[in-house]
Amino acid sequence: MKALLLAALLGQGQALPDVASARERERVARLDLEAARSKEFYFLADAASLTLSLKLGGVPLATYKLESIELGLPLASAGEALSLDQLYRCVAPSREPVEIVPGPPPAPAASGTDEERKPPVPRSAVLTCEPPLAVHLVSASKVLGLRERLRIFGDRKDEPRVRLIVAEADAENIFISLPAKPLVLFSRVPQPTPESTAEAR
Amino acid sequence: METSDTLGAAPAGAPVDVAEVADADATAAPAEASPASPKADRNRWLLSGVGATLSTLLLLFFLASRLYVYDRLGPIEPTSASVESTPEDAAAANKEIKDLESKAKRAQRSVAGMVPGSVYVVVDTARNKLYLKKRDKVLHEALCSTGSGGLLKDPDADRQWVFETPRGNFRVIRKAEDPVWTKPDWAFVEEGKSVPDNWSERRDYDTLGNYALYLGDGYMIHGTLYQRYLGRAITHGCIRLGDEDLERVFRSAPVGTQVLIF
Repeated sequence: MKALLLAALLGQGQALPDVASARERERVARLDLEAARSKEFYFLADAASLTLSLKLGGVPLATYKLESIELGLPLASAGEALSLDQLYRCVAPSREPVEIVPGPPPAPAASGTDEERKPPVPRSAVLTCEPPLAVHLVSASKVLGLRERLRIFGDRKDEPRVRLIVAEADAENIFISLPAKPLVLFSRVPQPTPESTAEAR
Repeated sequence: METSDTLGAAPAGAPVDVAEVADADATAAPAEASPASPKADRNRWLLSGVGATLSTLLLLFFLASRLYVYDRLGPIEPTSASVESTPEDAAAANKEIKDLESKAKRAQRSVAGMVPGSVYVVVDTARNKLYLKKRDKVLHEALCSTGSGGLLKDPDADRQWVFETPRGNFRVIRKAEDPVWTKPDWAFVEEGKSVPDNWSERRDYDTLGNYALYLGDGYMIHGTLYQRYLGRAITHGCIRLGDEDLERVFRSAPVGTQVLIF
């Protein structure tokens, strides 16, 4: 940073200090605080570290690895810029529960492999957000089936989309613990380079 | 070319249209022995060709209107070098950066200050894990069981229950040693038994184990008779722990402790 400041002060033809990164850092910190104060679950999708953090009241609960973050715009408006600089209020799809058949419980001390009554875990989820944005959470390992593709296709409402490709190992966990109404915040703060870290010291 | 030739060949006063083709089909169909005339065949092919082309164009237009263009999202580009930058520009930029960094640090400190400084509990319902934490440090990690997400319907009444562990920020509102469970209606319905009228028949002295930490609305962190199920989502919404882990959590988490469930 010192090197950058010095270079900037030397005069014409030098690189300006990195205002864009500072603005992004301030925006993310401000929205992180706003989300933390909301008492809602919120996701912080970091395009630099490719992680998706789930937080509640400022407390980090889990961090999932992302393979990529992709921004999708309708073909008709592909030339338009979208900054993703807001705090998005989203609604997650509800999961279908598995019906329990009444009957006597198993013996506590019994051994063996009892079947776990586990609701099916979806292969993808679409969060519908406001301001208009659709956040598609997709497992990196899964290829979407025809039905899912058709559903996504039919859901189009001209809104921009963000596709979060979740690493295979984390996909099931994130789909199971997906909050019903999360907030979503995107960060594009560049990670510090080894040089700038050394300078900071 | 073929299209205009065909149309040109049609005699005046006998325009070929869809209705005519349909009629021709209708008349030809019952008498399969008498084939349709070559002219009718040609017209039919022509019309189906035009129809197919129009449908394809419509479909392509529809598909194109629904296509998305995807771009990978990465970190923002740092401010690029500017040959026009002057010392004044740089000074203004530095002032802005200083101001922004000060605001960012203030916000980051506020968020960091929201992480409880005393012991708190985090429950991960996907991994069926419970963590006893203080600030960012994990003091204890335990396998637990959380809600199955199952749906139970009462065959004798119009009511149902979904066994989900509630998600959110809770607090330990009460603690008890040797807790007694007053079984709710669903406990009887699930076992296929009738719900008793006598409340004494609802009292259960074994199921909850040695300790219970009450979170409100009937949800608890408690022990279990089904230790072999720990690590699996099989409960009715409560959080079950093994005996030793339960004792550790019970001793460490006083009333008022935050319990974050996700």
